[in-house]
Amino acid sequence: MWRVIEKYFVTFCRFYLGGFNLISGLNYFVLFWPQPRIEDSIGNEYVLAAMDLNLFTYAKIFEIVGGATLVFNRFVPLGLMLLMPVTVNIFLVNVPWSPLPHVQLSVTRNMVMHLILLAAYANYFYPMLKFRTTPQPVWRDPSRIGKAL
Amino acid sequence: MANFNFVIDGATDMMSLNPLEMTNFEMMGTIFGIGGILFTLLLSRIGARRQPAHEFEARETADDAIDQYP
Repeated sequence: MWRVIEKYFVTFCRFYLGGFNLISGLNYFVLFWPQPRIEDSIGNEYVLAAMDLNLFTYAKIFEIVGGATLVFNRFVPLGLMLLMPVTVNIFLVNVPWSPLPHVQLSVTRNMVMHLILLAAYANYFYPMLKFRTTPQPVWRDPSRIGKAL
Repeated sequence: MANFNFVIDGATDMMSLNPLEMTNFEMMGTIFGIGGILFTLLLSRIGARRQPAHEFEARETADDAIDQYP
């Protein structure tokens, strides 16, 4: 029974985070709804600087690609890695500095779901815990990319 | 002041900690989440229906032969 609950909980997290990021990313380019207003807070200058440097555009592209991987259940570990900088940045900018409790709760929920998904797909990340490593450059055998797919 | 209010008025109370008070993106995440679970349930039902019934064959293979063990 717990296995079933666990399976559907992870599925919900995957679809929630994927849908949230996919729509948030698409909304930047298509504008279904007005973009969220920036409230007065200490992190404002950081957000405005990121917008001036067009970093938001890259972040939104990551959100679209990462969100699509989660929604369509393809390359999920890669999608989680792509979305991690976005989730962490939003979390660190909003939780200590946002004056709106709803925003703090929302970004915390996304962060928790992201961590749950990283833990759920941990088997794909265990190889990164290798203590001693030797390089195997991709240019020596590019066909390995095809084999990994 | 943070509160737990929930009102469907087309606007989101950003002071509300009520999980039912959602922004557009949270609403889309929830719709995708619930829709995704229903879709997964549907796929598993279809998969279960397509799976052929297991047929037992009373045949001993070399691997599970009892007399290979002393």
